[in-house]
Amino acid sequence: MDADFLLVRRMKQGNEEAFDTFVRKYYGEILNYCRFHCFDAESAQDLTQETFLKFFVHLPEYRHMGKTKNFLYTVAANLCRDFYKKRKDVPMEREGLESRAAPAADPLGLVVDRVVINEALLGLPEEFREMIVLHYFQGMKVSEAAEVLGIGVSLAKYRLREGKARLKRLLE
Amino acid sequence: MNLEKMLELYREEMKLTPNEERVARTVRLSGEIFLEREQERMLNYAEFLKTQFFVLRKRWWLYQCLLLAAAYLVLGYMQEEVYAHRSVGVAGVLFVVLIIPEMWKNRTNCSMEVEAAAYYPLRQIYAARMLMFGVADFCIAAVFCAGLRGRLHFTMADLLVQFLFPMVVTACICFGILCNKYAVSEMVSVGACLVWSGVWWLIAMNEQIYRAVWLPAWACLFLAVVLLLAAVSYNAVKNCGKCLEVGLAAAGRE
Repeated sequence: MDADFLLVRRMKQGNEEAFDTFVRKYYGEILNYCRFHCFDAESAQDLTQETFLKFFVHLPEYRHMGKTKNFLYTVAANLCRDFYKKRKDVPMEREGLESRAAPAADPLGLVVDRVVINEALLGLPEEFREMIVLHYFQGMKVSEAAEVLGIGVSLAKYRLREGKARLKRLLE
Repeated sequence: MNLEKMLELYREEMKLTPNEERVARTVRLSGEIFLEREQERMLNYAEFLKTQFFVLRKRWWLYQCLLLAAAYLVLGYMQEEVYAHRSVGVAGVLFVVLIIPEMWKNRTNCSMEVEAAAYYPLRQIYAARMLMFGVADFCIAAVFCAGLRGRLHFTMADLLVQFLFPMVVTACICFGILCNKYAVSEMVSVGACLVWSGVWWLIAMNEQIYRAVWLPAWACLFLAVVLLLAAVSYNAVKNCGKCLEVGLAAAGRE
């Protein structure tokens, strides 16, 4: 029996210790996931909190199928998507990105420029960005990321490969 | 620097360490929102009764109605009114016997453990079931008594002694066995009720005994069994989980 099953069961019984254990178990992961989607530490904290609150609102009806983490990621992804929609002022133009990256002779050789990568990530289609975030920033294996996204491993591999290629082009 | 290395550095640079204050706040708010939601989900008494009503098998009410209707017809065709008056008690006993299968349903189907683990306590489930049977049976019996009064000229005293008294005693036997901590089968309860039915038949048909008991004494006896019924019903609700505990303790000893 997996640990999440017992945790969910104890939480459903109102066990405060279980709430604490559960939130602490996934807080860091979800926080960084949100961080790589909204790039702003304060908003990431808010989105993480919102993710857990949404999870607990639905906890009474939640039926554990062994994928609690995936559920949290799905909730967080939806919140991040809404966050993008609300934030109309995000610079998405390729021109701005190119002008920033242009001065460098070899942009990949540069010291990591956080803003440039942020913008390059934002320039990626959502499905490719999601794969890059899960694999490179969340440290998931391709199969794990595929499970979280609910897609096949081959499609996940394709998205990762294509995402990398596009990201590289955006950074050049 | 290749892309992987660049993303690795970016990851390290962007990585956030959870803020203890924010984590604690999330834990607190999570607990609060969960409890709030649970409060909303709690059914009130009327809603709980409604859900229990859907779970009950209504066919037993139909059988009870059919039994009393049959008794009403048969008693009407009896040549001597005195026999009709004395025999109605048997119908009262059988009327109560018909609730036994429904009250023993969870024991017969071995679903007590499931019910005990459910969101609502076993006690509440039993109380709701007994209340619904009580209300329905009261209404059915009231219609039957009204019919007897009109067609067979039963007086209130006759109804009390001949119909209500044996009926309430049967209910006492039934709930008395139900609240027993040993999981006694429904057949024992049915058997006990039928034995009582025979005893009552003998009492009612024995003119000597019947005449020897004065009407106020019958009224007192009736009041006593009503009080006894209240007590055993309370016990049945209070101790409904006892037989489960006894079963578990026995299993533990083995």
